[in-house]
This record gives sequence, C-alpha cells and structure tokens, in this order.
Amino acid sequence: MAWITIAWKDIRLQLGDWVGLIWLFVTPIIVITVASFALSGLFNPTYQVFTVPVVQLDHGKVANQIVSSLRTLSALHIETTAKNGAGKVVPLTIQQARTKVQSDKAAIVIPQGFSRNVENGKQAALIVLQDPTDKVVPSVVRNILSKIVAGIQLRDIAVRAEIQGESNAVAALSAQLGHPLRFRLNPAQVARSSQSIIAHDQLRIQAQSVISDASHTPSAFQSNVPGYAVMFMLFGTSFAGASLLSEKESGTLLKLRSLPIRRVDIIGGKLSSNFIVALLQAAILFAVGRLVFGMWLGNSLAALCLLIIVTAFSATGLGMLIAALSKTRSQATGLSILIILTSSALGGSWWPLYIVPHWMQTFAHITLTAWSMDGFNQLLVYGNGLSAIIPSVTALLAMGLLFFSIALWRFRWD
Amino acid sequence: MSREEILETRGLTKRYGNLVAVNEVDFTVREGEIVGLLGPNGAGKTSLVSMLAGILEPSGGQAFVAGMDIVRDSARVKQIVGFVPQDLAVYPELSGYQNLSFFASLYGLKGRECAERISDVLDIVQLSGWAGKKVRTYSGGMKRRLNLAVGLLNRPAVLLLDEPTVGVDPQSRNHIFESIKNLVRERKIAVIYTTHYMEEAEHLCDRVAIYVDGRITACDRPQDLVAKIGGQTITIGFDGELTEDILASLKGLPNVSNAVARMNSLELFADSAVDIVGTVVERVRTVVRPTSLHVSGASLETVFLALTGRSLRD
Repeated sequence: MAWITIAWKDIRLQLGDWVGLIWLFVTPIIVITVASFALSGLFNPTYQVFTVPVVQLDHGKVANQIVSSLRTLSALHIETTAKNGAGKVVPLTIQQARTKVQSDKAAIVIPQGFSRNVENGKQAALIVLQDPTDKVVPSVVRNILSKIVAGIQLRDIAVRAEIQGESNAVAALSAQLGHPLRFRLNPAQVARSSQSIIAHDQLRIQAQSVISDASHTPSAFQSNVPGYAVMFMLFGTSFAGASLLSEKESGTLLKLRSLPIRRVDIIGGKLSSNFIVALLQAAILFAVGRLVFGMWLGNSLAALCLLIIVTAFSATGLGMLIAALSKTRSQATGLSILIILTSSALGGSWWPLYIVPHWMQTFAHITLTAWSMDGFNQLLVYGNGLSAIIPSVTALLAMGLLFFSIALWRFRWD
Repeated sequence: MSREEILETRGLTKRYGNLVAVNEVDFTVREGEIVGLLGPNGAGKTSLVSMLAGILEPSGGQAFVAGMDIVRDSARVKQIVGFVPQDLAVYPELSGYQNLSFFASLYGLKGRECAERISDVLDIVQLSGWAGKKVRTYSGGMKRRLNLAVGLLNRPAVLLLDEPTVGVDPQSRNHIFESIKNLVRERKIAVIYTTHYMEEAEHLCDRVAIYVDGRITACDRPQDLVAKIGGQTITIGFDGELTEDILASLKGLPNVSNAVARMNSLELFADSAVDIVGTVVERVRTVVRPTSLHVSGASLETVFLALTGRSLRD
C-alpha cells in the first residue's frame, strides 16, 4: 500500500537525521531531567531542610538557649559560622547573612546584649532578615522562632512561679520560726519581672527585609523579563551565529574569502551584527517590561546596561562556538536548541534558582544564564549597585572570551 | 614572465591529506586570453582556481599574478583578480543592486565611483532593469549573470570563472559568453574558465588545458589539440553487456589509441577507422548484438579520451 511505503520512507529519513533525533528525543530527555531535579523539592514527600544562617552577636544564656533549640529542629540546618577570606572558620557576620539570605531566603540575628536585656526585663528583639521575593521560608523561620520564644517565656514563668512558691514557703517558715531566713531572690522583684514579660511583650521578633530599596516590592516581571530576555538572546545569537554556516553552505563565504579583506573582518562583522541585534532585543524587552508592565529597573541603570552588554557578548560568543562546532546549519540549530533549553532550565531563566537544590544551584553556574540571572537579581530584586554584579560581569566576560577563542580556533573555513 | 603573461604557475600543488588535488601544475595565461580548464567533476579544477583566488593556500609550488606572488602579496593579488565561484555567491533577500553595493564596499569602493562601477557591471551582464528587485525573484540564468557581475566589480586583470554556466538556460549561457568575450576584447582581461562541457571550451576558449587528476595533460588551441590527436572515432551501439576481454582485445588492435565502453555503446579511437571497423564489429558481435554503427572525425572529446583514457562524463 502506498501510504505504508511513504510512511516507511519518512521514518527511514528521520532515523537517519541525527540532528532531528537529538531534537526529538535527546533534548526533551535532558530538559525533563534538569527540570525534574530542579523542582524535586516541590514534590518530595519528605520535608525540605532549610538552611538558616544565624548571626549570634550575643552569647548569653537566653541566646544560647535559642540557638540550642533551633539546632534540635531537624527541619532546619543552622549555620552560625562561615569561612573568611583566609579560609578560616569564623562566626557569621550580618553582612554575610544578608548575602546568604538571597539564596537561603531568611536568616536570624541575635543582637548584642539580647540575653542581658531579657534577664533585666528590658525590651529585647530577635531579628529575622528576610527576602521578600519568597513568602514561605521567612514565614516558616518566624513561626519556629515564635514557638521557641514562647517556650522560653513559659519555662521562665514556670521557674519564676516555682521560685515565688518557694519564696512564699520560706517566708511562712520564717514567721513560724520567729526569725528571718535568708533567701537569695527577692520575691517581689521576681514577680514583677515575670508579669512584665507577659504583659508588655518584652521579647519580640522583628522582620527586616534585605532589599535596600524597600519602596520597590519585587514582582514576577523582575525575574521573568531578564530570564526570558537571556533565553531569547541566546536563541537569537545562536541562530545568527549559524548564519555563518549558511554563508559557507551557500558559497558566499567562499566569495568573501576571495576579496581583499581579512578573515578577522569576516568573523568580526558577523559577531558585531549578532551582538548589536542581541543588545537591541534586550533593550526592547526591558523597555516593554518598564513601559507596559511598570517593571522597576533597579537603582543603577548603568549597572543594568553593563550587565546586558556582557550578557549579549557572552551569548554572541556561545552562538559562534555552536557554529564552529557544527558542520551544517541544521546541526547548529539542533545543538543550539539543546544547549539553550538546558541552560535555561538549569540557569534560572524559568524559575528562581533558590528553589532548586543547593548542589544544583552550584552546578548551574556552568551556564552563562545562571551568572546573568545572579546579576539581574542583584540589580532588579535586591536593588544593589555595580559592585554587586562584579562576579557576574567577570564570569560572563570570561565565558564570552573563552567561547570566542574556541570558536576562532575550531571554525572550519573550508 | 613576459609582459603579455599576466598569470603563471610553477609546480603549483594542493594536497588534502593523502589526496593530491592539484599536482605540480605549470601553466601561463596571457592578457586578453581565455584559457579553459577542461576536466571531469572531481579533477581538481576548483582547487586550482581557489588557490589562484587566494582562498586556498598552496601546499607547494608558486603562482604569480602580474608578477605578484599569490601567497606573499595575497591582498594586492585579490585587488586585481575577479573570482566567480561555482555556487551562487549572492544574497537572495537583497536586491541585485544591494548585493553589488555590498561587495563593492568590500573592495573599498565608495560614492560616485561605487555607483559608476555598479552601473558598469550591470550593463555588462544586462541586468540594469532588474537591479532593484530581490535576487530571489531572478531566474537561474539571471542569478548566474549577477554572480558574474560581482566578480567584475574590481575591474579585474584576471577573471577566474569556475563553471559559471552550471544549470543555466541556453539564452543566459549565450549572454554570459557574450559578456566574457566583450570583456576580453575591450579590456584585455585574462580569463581562466573551468568547465566539463566540451562545447563551451571549444566555443569560448583561446586555449584549452586538458585537466585530469590534478594535472594538465595538454594545453593548446582547441583546433591544434584536435589536429595533434587526429584520427577517427568508431561508435557502436548494442544490446547486452560487453566483456572486459573483448574490450581489452579491441584496445590491442593496430592503430587504436583507446576504447571506452558505456552502457549499450562502445567508442573506439583509431588513426583510421576504415582499416579496422570490420574487425571491431566482428569481435563485438561475438558477445553482444550491434544495433548501430557511426564513424566520425576527431573532436575535443576524442582528444580528451585519447589523452586521458576516459570520458568527461566518467
């Protein structure tokens, strides 16, 4: 039958096309694997262990009691130390905790003099540093802390009540004996102190956002616009890079090589056009985000522009690398789709990286997407400036240069 | 190199690993001369012209254009060499004018000079009326003519044409031939024209180089090549399959320079057909049934067969 013959011919052709096979089978398998690992926490039947940085500036009895209580909770992994520049383990600082909040979403600060204030019946507050982009973790940490504090208060009340009772008994015994017995605690003072805690909410939990500019609450656009901008910049530059292969296939590259121009002019021209188009693409996407959706562009437009430029540079390099590693345009297209979809899932274009397991957050930084998204989050979510994106800018520049170097080395002119 | 000779190669060689595509080729081309490189597909013609165009680096030997070494003075050589590749090296989404303007800019042409040069080459290939239209709307022949126009933008002293009429209709082919002849006549440019079409070489070229397996076997005026080889061709049509034994025995006949068997036909080259035609038919008849017999004089094709032992269609 004719339809069977036609179907069989098409299947044979499809099975012989390895680019098509990658697109059909390998790419979805890899993307599904990455996405499943990334979102494993959301579907895991066992509870997720949160890492909570704790800055312990007070080492009094109450502070130690709180930290000990936190450590007993299996749902939390408490970090009170960090490595300094010399690799030495030192107590965590507030600055380090603020940085960690960007990935861990909440941290606890026990201020200096906290225990003394509590013991003296003065106002005392525990500070929860929180990332407003996440509603779950800070709320969990605040609740846990409230319960611990309530427990301490109850224990304190019970102890004081017991002491009060003992004190009353001593007073009665003194009256019976007819001479005063010495008792270390002043019963009246103990009673006053206990009532004061309960009555005036002396021990408080204070939430503090780590976002420097509190007037701009992050919206979904702050994450989605850069995320999808990076992904589509990668698509644009990869397909444009592959146009070099089209020129090779069509014969125009051969013609260009017969002209009195250098090879570097040919590659440079291609790069520049891809780079400019990528910049234009990003500019339009951010402009739409700002003008149509009212997206906040951070506190430093210069830093944002710099980050877009280095991202476009790095993406252009990746596009050229894919072109250099492919023999035909069709191969380049298959390879581009595989690399871009995988790095978008892995690098945080589709969802914030903090929701993926820690090992994956680290592994994600083999992609330029992760570095770029780190930078965009610093600027658009946390409202930080140029200094906060230096690691991202450096990594993206290094990646771009590496991609270009390999592309120039590996490109087959003939 | 004499003043007339604009191009010269000395032992020019190109190797790809173990494959020798161009094997120590020596030849010269004079101003105002069209030299055809006649050879089958895969003979190495494109590799040879690609080296002369500065696209491929030679593995050995030397070549000079207007006294300049094609490797050492590559940039200057490229300024005076026009290259028309076998593939259409134009951008279909641009207009003819935009294509020419792009390539002219890469030759460093600007402003009025650029416009005049574009107008000039459009006149030569007779595409002025189509300059503003996108190339994708052109016919195959028009695209070929535009391809030629791009190769003329730098007013070359040497024009390298790599099979410029592949897939072209007869009318466009004649346009291209006329354009080339006019250029040679009026501007005295030298042309190297690679082809595997015998008729093109015979019709267009002042000299023809028989080019097989990366070597030039002979190079002369077409009529001189034919005169040198001389003889006649016996063509026998038949039903069935000729055995190798018979073919070998035919090649061994007196005055036979070569014999080539194709599907249902045999071509045999001899100094005089009359002396051997009876024997040939008899021997063929022992294995197959002859259906036709034709005897003709020498041609460039017989020259090619006689010199290389194979047909251009092989």
